[in-house]
Amino acid sequence: MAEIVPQIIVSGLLIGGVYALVSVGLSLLFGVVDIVNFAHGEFLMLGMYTTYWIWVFSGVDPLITLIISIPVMFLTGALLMKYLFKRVIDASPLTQIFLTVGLQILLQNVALMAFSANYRTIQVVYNEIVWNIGGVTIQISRLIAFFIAILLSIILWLFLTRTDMGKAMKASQLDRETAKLMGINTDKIFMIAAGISAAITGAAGTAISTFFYVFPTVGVSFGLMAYITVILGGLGNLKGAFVGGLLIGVAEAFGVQYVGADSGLLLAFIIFIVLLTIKPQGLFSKGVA
Amino acid sequence: MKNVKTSRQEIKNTAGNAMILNPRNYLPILGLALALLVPLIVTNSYYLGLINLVILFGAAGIAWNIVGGYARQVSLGHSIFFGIGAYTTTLLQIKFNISPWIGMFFGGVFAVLIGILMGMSVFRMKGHYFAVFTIAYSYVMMLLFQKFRGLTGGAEGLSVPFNDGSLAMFQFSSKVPYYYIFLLALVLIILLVQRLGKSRIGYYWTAIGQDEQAAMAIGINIAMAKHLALGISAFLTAILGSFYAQYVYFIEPFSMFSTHMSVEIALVAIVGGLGTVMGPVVGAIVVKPIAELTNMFLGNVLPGANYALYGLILIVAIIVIPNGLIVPINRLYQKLINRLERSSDRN
Amino acid sequence: MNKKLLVILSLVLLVVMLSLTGCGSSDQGKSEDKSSGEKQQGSENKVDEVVVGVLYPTSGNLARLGGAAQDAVKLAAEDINAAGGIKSLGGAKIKLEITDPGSTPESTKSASERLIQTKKVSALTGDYSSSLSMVTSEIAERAKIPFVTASISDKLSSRGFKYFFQVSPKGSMFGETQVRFAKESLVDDMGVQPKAAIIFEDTTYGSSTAEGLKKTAEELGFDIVLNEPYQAGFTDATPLINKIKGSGATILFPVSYLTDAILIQKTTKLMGVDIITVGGGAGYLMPEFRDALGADADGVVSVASWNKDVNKPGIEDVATRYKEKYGEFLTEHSGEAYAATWVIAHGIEKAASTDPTAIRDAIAELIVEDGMAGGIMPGGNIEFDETGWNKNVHPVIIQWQDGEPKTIYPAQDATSEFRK
Repeated sequence: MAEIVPQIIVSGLLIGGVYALVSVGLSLLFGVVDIVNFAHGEFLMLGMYTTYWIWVFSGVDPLITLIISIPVMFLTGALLMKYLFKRVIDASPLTQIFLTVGLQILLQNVALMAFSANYRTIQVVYNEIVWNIGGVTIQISRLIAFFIAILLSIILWLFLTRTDMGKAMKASQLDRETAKLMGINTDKIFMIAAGISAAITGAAGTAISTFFYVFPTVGVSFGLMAYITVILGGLGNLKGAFVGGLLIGVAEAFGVQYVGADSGLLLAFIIFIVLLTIKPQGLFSKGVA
Repeated sequence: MKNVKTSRQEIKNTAGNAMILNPRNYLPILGLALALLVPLIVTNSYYLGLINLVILFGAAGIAWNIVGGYARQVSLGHSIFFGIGAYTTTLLQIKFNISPWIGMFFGGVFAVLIGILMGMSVFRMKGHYFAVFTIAYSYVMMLLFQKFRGLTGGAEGLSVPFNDGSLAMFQFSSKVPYYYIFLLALVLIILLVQRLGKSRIGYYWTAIGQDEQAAMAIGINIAMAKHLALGISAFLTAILGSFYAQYVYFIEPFSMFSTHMSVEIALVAIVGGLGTVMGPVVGAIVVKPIAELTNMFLGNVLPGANYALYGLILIVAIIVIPNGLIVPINRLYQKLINRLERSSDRN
Repeated sequence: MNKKLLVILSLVLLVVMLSLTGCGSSDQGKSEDKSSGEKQQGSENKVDEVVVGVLYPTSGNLARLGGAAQDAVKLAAEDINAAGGIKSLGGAKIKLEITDPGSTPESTKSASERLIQTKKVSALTGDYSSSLSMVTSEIAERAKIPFVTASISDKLSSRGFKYFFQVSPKGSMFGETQVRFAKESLVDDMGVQPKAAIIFEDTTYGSSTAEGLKKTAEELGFDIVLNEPYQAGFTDATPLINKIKGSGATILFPVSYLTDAILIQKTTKLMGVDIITVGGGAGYLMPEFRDALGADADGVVSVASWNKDVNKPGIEDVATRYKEKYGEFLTEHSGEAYAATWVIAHGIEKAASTDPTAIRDAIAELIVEDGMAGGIMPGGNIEFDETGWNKNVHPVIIQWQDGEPKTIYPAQDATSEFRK
């Protein structure tokens, strides 16, 4: 059974990359704006539908649709911040949770009304290609999705560390009041953060659309994974969210193999609970309780 | 407190009884009396069924409020206790023919044990961490109940044994007995939480909810107080969960332990008013019928329209009345009491 | 303190009310029955319409097939009315009251009660999901309203209900049919080694089908090298396929809904696992299965509770009109939904009454023969045994050929040959 271990790790990492990108999006919004968005998985769904419809009408490769879907999703996120999230920024976590739960129900069902419950798939040539490296099978479309996830994460990291806007964003993450005093326009920062959060999550949707299917409730399982991952990595900790995503992917794959195919999720959740019980502020916290 | 001993005598000589003439006392009794008449007015059993669910979720919202409202520990895992109650009762009934009236207490105790186990890890979390952690627990529970099908019936779920009309087995052909049982439970829970809220532990919870550091500083045993809140809340929620199973006739892990269920329980408390006794009842009166009405009028129009509207109403409600409906209602109620008091003074 | 007083007062009042209403309620129920019965006799068997409640989920996770089945019921009602309605009631029209039961037992209970209590339905149909049918059947039984469904769980007909009717094959029969087909066509004819892997989604549907699979596979001498439930709706089938690969199985019996079926099929191919799939229905039969897999769908075999080309008179006409009207082919659940609606119509016709109990009695005695409208279930006539199950029905095996599911087994229902 040991020869199967490399395959498990690779499979887990590939899907974990997607979890990682979705989680980074969620964590960013929390870190900068201090909101947990329960409609986060629905950003993925919207990104997938955007890609799907562009593909249907133009026939271009789904990856090229990123040129359109990223701005569209950015705008969606920014507008949601301006007209919705902003109203509950200073409210209790509870109010925020229920506002975004309402948003989740709304978005899922608007998608159902607009696009019907049909499962939609995108056909691309490279979905049929696999590489076999030393007994490990790698599906090209999944590998591409993984690399998109890595690439976007790196771009985001560069943005946050190398640009003034990114630094301002980090500053407002650390201390909202001080940032305001320093003359940073926090409203603008919040809109951009929400925009990026939606855009990269939508991009994750585009990345998986070549081997997954689109339907109104597709975001639920990814969203759930993201909350778990983000908490695991420490809320607002992007590095933690990224590593956490990969970890959950691998844990799930091992769970299926060694505990039972119905237990992948179970194992991921139990690991989550055990780890957090030991380290309540997340795996990558700086030890501040 | 002096009144306690003399109260019975006072009732006997009804004339000139200051206590019963005080609107603060007779309004709740009047309200209860009206509630008792509801089944005589609402004879359509579908509508009475809807009212039953309102009462059940109102009560569950109050139970949730002990943890979520008073102590401000935002639990989104109360479906665990609801589900444990439902499952324990139903399994005891199926496997050992134990009446739900007895089984529900086993469910309650079991839920308390699970609550204590959960509390050991979740109470180290705060805010969002706590919420997501409780969600994770409810998923673990759902998956465990699916996996161990020998014990739990697995994903196929369990049917409550068909029993056409038996008080001993908690089964009635009419909706009316359910109504009175649920109402009794609601009244008892209201009285219990009212008393708890005014007791020392209630003040502890409120203190923790407002500022945990300060609460610790004045010497409150935080862990103990939180565990007590979760334990009481879990017990009550489990009892209500067993009612729910008897009422819906069929339970399966996916919906019983879902976050959706937890959200529904917490939602009534939020829409009604956090940390208030009657808030969740008001919340349930609003939330449950809205879900039903949107389905009734839009369920056949365009798939999804009903739930889309439901989501929209939820968003608007949270923005427009962030402190819950109980605040304006309380204001009206106070006005009413003042007016009644003034008029009785004049007399 | 007034609270004690409140408690005592309320307790006393509650007990009084409870005992009063406890006695009163049963009388109330009886008198209601009487009055509706009287109305029936007075109406001289002439009514304008008969109300049938339809409960197919059109929101949430069950929306896809629920919506399609609801369309089939609408088509059936149009056909019934176009053929002159219920003749024994003076040409009364079928009026559908459609509602969305959602995807939870609670919402299903509410929806069922709403139809029964506020729409005065004479019969109910719907709930393709077995979990939802468990709930509606409980409520229909208590309200004494016949409920005709195409849900497949064995549990449904095992409760001794009088008002429950199941037109479809039982869940346990699917596995049996899959294994028998594999034994006859794959092992005996083609010489495939009888090493079976069973994987099934962890749902009512999955586990009830898998039980039948395992039992028959053991009886017919298969070596079961893997028998495992999996979490429905996964995002990656690779770990599961790894496991199948490692087991050395030659025949795969997956019981999966669409999304999982597609991923299993695709991943099996991509990972080069040499295995023959005999699908467990559901996902293997939907138009999207073909859309997602393209030419790879061709040749895939699956069990089905119904198929649009089963050897039955009139079936082609229904399938063609459905496709013209709704743009996709008639799938298994929709075909059965169509048949179930006709069962109700024939029942009302036979009862010559809108009284639910009279209709129930008529359906219990009903025989829908080949050639009668709606007599399109595989196997013999539609005829219910004492548990309410359509005793002549059995599942069929289909194979995707040129982008269409074709019935290939058993011989009496088949209209195409198995392509090896």
